[in-house]
Amino acid sequence: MNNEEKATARQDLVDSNSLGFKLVQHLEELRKGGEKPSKLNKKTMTATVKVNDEDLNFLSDLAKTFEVSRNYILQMLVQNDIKTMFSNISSDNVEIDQAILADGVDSAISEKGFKHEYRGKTWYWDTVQRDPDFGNPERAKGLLEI
Amino acid sequence: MSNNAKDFIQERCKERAKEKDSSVYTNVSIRLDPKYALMLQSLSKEYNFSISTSFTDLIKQHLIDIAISLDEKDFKNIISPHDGAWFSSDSALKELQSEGIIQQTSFDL
Repeated sequence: MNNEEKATARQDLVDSNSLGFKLVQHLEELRKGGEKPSKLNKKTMTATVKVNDEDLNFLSDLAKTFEVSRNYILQMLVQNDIKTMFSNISSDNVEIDQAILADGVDSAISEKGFKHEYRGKTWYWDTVQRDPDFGNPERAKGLLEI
Repeated sequence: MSNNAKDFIQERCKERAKEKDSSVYTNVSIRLDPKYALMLQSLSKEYNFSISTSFTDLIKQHLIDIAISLDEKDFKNIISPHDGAWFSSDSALKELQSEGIIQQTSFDL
């Protein structure tokens, strides 16, 4: 396969909805002078993950090319995966209720002295806003009349 | 075997293999925003999964998506130098090689 054929084969595999694709776009923006998302908490917490050594070298090359730290790339990937994991908890699961889990984590954030994101971005808010009636002006009007 | 049971045991086997073959894996500490770190701890407890091995395959898959999404210049800088290389383990680069994105290894015997 020549270089041109390889490039075409690669283009056919690109998934513009994938996290990898979106991260590349974000890294390209940063390289052009864009700003990293602002941090609410200066303090971070650590998680240990097992990474294949060849993948780790790939991550280092990627970080060098885009002039960011390897941790920044891993952080973006893992945080997005955590968000996806949480949002995909089945609503049929009666043992692990998404709203209760969200509320528990929000409480833990407060108990440990960390700042919360503004209203609308906490885990609990993310969960409850999925109620189809939430924010419905007709419903709000009805409640006011009561 | 039902699909759920099959998936379950395959996942456990993969985890065991990663534990056993630790020579090709490195433990990396990632700094996370507390909002995400605490959610991860909670999910891990509720769903009884190991945090350290759960992201190994997820990261690999993301790296494959990243590699194929790079523009030509970055692809040439980062990926092309690996053309013809031999990959020892189950890595993103090895997967890219089997997809034909990275040139296969050629041995002169």
